[in-house]
Amino acid sequence: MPQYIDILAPENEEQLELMVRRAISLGFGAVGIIGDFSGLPKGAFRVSIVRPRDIPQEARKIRSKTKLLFSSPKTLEESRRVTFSKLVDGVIASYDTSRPNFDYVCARQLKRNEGTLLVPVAWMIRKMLKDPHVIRNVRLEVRIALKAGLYPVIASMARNTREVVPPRLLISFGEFILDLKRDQAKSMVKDFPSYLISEERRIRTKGVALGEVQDSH
Amino acid sequence: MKFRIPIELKERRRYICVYAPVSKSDLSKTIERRLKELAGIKGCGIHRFTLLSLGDNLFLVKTAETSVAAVLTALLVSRYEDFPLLEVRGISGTLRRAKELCVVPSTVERRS
Repeated sequence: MPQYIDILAPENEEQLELMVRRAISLGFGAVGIIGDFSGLPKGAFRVSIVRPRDIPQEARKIRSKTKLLFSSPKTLEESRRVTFSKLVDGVIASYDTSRPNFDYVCARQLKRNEGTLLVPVAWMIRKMLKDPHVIRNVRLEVRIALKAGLYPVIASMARNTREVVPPRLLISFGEFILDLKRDQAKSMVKDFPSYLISEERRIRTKGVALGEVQDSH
Repeated sequence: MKFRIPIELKERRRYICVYAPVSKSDLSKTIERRLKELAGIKGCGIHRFTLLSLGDNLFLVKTAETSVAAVLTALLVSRYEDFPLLEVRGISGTLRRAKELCVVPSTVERRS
């Protein structure tokens, strides 16, 4: 059954425990954690972000240790290269660049791996108050992703307890800022991320990333 | 002569229950400023709201159904940038229900 999923990026171990507890109390069923923490609390799973230049070497090393592997390309060329690799589960939307870095070709490449486009709410809010262009970029990328049949995901990417918010606020953010229908925005916080970490997807894409690892040997 | 407005054309009200340990005027000004900012960033009209105080740092934001997403986004930005303790406790279509939501926060968050 789908449940609300959020992805957090705690600054330290103390924050980790508090943030996961708060997220669960707000109604999230599971929480993805970005960062190199030794142990994770109950209800949390590991998420990693690799730089485009670390793909495929570094990505191969950490692929088995992490449930979701994202990358944050800064140019369209990087984005094409990252999405071509089946090791990556998704890319982060262009929240910090002056132009979109994600086109239809990238979306189609990600689709083979049933990957996703991640919209980082906290990062985006920090940036958009200074540079409103990011809204236009991210909105365009989400539209491309939806058109290509990808499953975009909205996550808070909170770095402290202050930034952990109820799912309803993430849905409203998608609805208002990204011009989505409420059902679409809700799917991006609930159904799509649930599917992304589900056993069903793992089975469907089984061997895709493994094949790439074996080819290198 | 009286005209009846069809129910589907009526603008339905929504009440958003908010906990914020600040004064009513501060909260009202902040939400208004954030709404104006968002309208400017996004290039849309300014959404209206009315703030009602329930005491004990609890407030009800009364707004139209079409403005709920904008007001909630403004509250989200306010939490990130202005008031770290601000919390949205629930949304309801009736004043009576909204007041109930304010009293029982934990169940509300799960429903939202």
